[in-house]
Amino acid sequence: MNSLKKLLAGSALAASLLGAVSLVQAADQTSCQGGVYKLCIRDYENANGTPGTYKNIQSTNKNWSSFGWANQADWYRNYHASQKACVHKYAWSSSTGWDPPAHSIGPGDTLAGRARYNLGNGNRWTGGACQ
Amino acid sequence: MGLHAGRSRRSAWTIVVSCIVLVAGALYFAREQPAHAGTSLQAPLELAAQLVHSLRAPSPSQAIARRQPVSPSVKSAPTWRDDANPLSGNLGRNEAERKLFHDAEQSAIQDCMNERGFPYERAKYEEDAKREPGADEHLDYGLAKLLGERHEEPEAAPPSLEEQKRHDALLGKAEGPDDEDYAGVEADGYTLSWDTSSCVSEARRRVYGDEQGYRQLAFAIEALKFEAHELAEADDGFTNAVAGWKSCMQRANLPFDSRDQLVSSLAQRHERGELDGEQLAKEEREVAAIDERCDGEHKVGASMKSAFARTQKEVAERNSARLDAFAQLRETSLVRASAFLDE
Repeated sequence: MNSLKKLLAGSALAASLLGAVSLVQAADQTSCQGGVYKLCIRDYENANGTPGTYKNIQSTNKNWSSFGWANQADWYRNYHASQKACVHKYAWSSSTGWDPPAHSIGPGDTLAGRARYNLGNGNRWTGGACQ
Repeated sequence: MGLHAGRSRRSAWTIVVSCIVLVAGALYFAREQPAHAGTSLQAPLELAAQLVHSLRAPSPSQAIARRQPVSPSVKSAPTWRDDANPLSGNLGRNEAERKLFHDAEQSAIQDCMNERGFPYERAKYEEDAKREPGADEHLDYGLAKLLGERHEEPEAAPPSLEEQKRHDALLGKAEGPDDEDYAGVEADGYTLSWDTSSCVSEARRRVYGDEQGYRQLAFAIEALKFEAHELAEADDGFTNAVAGWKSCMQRANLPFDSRDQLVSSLAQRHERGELDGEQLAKEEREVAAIDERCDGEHKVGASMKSAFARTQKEVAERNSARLDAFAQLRETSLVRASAFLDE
């Protein structure tokens, strides 16, 4: 009986992990069109695997590496109807008690840099000012 | 704004003194004249009342100025030196000014959307104080929490045709900078572009007039803040603090060059399956506690803060003319936005 319980628990855990992985993968797109998006980001340098992969970011994230994105991006479009996306790039974010400088990307704005620029590695949303 | 505030203060004293003289004069005449001689008494009193009224009913820009602390020095022209955060790229220097611009833009967006046959609910202004930077930034990096939340964040369904039309009217189409309706501004190797046929763009033109000029200047100033930040990262005080942090972390078997690298490493180990959710949460808390101790001992955050304050001043001084142009733009925009809201 105990073995059966362990087997079931193990299966449930494995299923959860697979579900999590598929959710992460499903959030990567090949474009920002045809769906509901908030902040769409793209890394020109293909550091994140598939060339031309986009990611839709809905929440505030201090560091994008926390959801598997290899850290930086150089193209952004804000699809949010009213909030600004504040995109920061800072290797020392968290626990410094202050905010790094941020690019302010208003609703409908697209921010893009040359390939050598990685403009950000984290974001937050605001209905006020970015910095 | 300092100029206006200084002038307002002098004008106020002049008016108050004038009123006292006029009222005293009126009372003197009232004693001397018979009761039926109303007209001779009425004139100075009415003049006094008008002066008092003009003192109590400020213009829109004066109303904003009065909510703010008055600068002790009287300047001959608007200057960036009145701004506590001159490299922010924000047209509003404080909550009151930012809210004014926000409200004016939202009002203009609503007008534009309604004219195009779409409903629009104005977005509320969000004060900086409500987000409390740093309040949740200790003991962990938010990794385990974020990964937990991902299970609860379903992908949104594609919008209906009507929703898409409304979205396009509000923000513009997503074709990109090659579209003929697109405008853009550049600074330091990157560009900000938008669809000028959108209501958010139309609203900026209604409130500020020269949308392109305003956005170019604001974008260029925002880039200056990043320039100042790069200088701060190269500052000796900061690089020494980082070296100390690295040694401290290394002694705890955490050989990382930066916090960013540390967080990435944790996330990658989770992705590779080396850490499950519980293990990640536990390790994250342990590592963050060591990180916090090392940061405190070597003052990484504090060093950056002081270096950044200094480099921002240096960069601002070097770009004084551009910042003064932005301060001038703020003055005219405050008047325009106030007038727009009063319409």
